[in-house]
Amino acid sequence: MKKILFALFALLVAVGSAHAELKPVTTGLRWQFVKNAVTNDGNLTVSKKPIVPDGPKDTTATFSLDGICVPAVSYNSGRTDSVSIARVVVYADSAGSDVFSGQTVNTNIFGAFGSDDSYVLVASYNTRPTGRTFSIPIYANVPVNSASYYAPAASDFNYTFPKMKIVIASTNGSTVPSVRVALQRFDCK
Amino acid sequence: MKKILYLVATAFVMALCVAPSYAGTKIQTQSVNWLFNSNLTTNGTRFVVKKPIIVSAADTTDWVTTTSWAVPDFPYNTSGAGGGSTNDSVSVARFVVYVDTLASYTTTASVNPSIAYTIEGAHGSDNSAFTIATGTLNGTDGAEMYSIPVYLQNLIAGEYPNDFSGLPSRIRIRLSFSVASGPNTISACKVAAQYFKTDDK
Repeated sequence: MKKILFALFALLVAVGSAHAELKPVTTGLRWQFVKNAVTNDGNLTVSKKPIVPDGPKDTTATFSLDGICVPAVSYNSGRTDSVSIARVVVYADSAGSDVFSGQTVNTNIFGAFGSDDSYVLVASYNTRPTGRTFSIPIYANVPVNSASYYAPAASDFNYTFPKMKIVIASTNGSTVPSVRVALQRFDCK
Repeated sequence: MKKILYLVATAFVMALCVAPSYAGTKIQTQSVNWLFNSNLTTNGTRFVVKKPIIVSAADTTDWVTTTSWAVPDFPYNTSGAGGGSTNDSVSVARFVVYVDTLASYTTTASVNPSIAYTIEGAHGSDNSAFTIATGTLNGTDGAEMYSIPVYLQNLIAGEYPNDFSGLPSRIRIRLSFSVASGPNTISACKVAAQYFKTDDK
């Protein structure tokens, strides 16, 4: 009996590990130093950095969403079903300046494939630097019904390009003194 | 002892049920070469670089092998006799088409470039292609990225998921464009395919 128990337990552990829970993984994105542009400090770490208003864009290092894990899809009854596979987390703090005077942090997500770095804007979001983080979800696998069977749907596998980067800008008001970016995705193990 | 055995067995069954059926599937990207066709003015570029698309001259990619692609669980409605519906479908892949007109078109829809696409499939060894999807991309000025999903669809109402129409062992995409006025060449175009693959850990 003990052997049976042990065998069942071992099997349970094996099954559990085979269907390992997807774990969210956070990756800090480095700021990419841009030559010939005033990027304040060219900070190459994931620490906070200021973003100059209406100035040169600040860009993160390139990252990829290839090979990331896709969670199980929970679905309702139609094409609104989707699953989030990753998110871009942006922290922006005005550090005392007047947030409500129009100071806006603009986050643009670019994607590309191939070897020639032809990036295209795939998403753009605006937020106020309130000292909080805001997240930009990235979706995949949106099922559709036959009514739109042949229609191109930009929401399918949204934003999952093998080469991606995030460009941050302060589009209005004064300098946003404290901004940083991270990427969260699911890991299979 | 029996209680312990029962508890372990119950936990085992629960683990099987709760385990996410789609977890562990990864997204993969594959670049697609242009298929050289000496009978067409395709410029003969066989690599994953941008190439021009000339009006009225269809350009086709090479075949993308779908072997070992993962098929997600089908979402299904409850309208079918047995729960499944022929409306149910799921995307298993997509072609990503980068297009840069690099030319000035007016924003009037009637004169913007219209890019027709055909997704073809083939089984066996003779490359007898059949059409599995068609559509149109409406181009505008500048660079754009289009996503063209490839679906599997439930064929028989009342049947449950996995009764899909079948994923051909090879698929490819053909592009051709027309324009009412303006430049007759789309200066830069390239294609990639994205699909799911099971976790190979």
